[in-house]
Amino acid sequence: MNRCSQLVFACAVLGALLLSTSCVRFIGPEDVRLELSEQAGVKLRQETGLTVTRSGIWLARQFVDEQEVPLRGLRRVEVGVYEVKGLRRGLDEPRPLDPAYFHDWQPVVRLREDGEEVMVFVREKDDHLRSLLVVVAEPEEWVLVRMHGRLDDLLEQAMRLAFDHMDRPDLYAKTRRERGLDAPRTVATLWTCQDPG
Amino acid sequence: MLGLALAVAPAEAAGPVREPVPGFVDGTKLAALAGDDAVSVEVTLGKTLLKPILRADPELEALAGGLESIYALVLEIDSASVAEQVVREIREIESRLIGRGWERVARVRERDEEVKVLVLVEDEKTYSGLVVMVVDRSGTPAEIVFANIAGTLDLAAIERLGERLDVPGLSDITIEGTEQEKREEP
Repeated sequence: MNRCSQLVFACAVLGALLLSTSCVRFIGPEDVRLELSEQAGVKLRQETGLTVTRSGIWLARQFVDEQEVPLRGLRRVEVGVYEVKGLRRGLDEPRPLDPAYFHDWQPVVRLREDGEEVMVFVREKDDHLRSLLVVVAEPEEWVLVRMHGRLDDLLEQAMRLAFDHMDRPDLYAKTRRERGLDAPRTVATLWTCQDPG
Repeated sequence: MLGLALAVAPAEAAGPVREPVPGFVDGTKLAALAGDDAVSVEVTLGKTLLKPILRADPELEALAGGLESIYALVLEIDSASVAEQVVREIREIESRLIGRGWERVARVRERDEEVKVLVLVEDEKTYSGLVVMVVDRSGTPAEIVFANIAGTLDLAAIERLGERLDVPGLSDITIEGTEQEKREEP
């Protein structure tokens, strides 16, 4: 069995394992979709969905560079991309989303521009960021992201990368190389598709 | 109902972003006056969220480690009468703040545009609050910006915060000194 066959076999076993233990599911934050769809009067059809639970994240940490994507502390990630299939009967346009409906979430960011709306909410506990919910509502597509866990490190690292990029975009690639962020230790780099011989 | 639907984890009380710290000024009344449809940008960052953001930039953390909250609001108002109501509220906020000891560090008026910058001075080099209010009625919709930073922060932090976080109203500000400092100059 050559290296490529080994990789395919390993991926298949891993995939079966992940799916059978439900640590990865191909569905987004369905409860949020149902509620927001009802609220806005918009029919949504899932294009892409992914839910990764604690065991899936633990597995991902074995392959991802912690410096680039600090997954430690993350417990659950749900991502859903939905196509807008139309409006509910009697509506000419979607009803606006009211942040007041998210009563146990704290609104952080709200942007509206050219029919696009972005809302970011957080939950805190003991002075730490515990949950994050992002809602992007465009005329033709909606994106929902919900994360749970200790998210402070993740936010700090994301901001650091953003600041690096902001300071000197021309040096950004160089900074990444210096920090060793250009070649994360992923499945692809661990299993190069070449025959050992 | 939505709250229940969203609650995967047990509902936790949202952190108190709007604590009555010195330097905090509530701008949400402007959003309420203008109506939901007029809100173009609204950013509310409490201390919990600011901590990891500041940690990402050690220089900024040193300058603004005592930051408590940032609030920014951009309104786009089509109705002239609603815009007038909001402008009236802005004037009331300004006179209230000056009555409470805030200092005006900038006031620019150009035809239909007005910029007001007020600070709450803590000592020579530090502020405990900053408010920026911009009214632009040169076109339709009228654009109104309100920004408030609360907490102890160095003068230099204000520029860097505006630059780093792209806070509406702060990005183009250069603080050179308060009126009191200017009066004390020989």
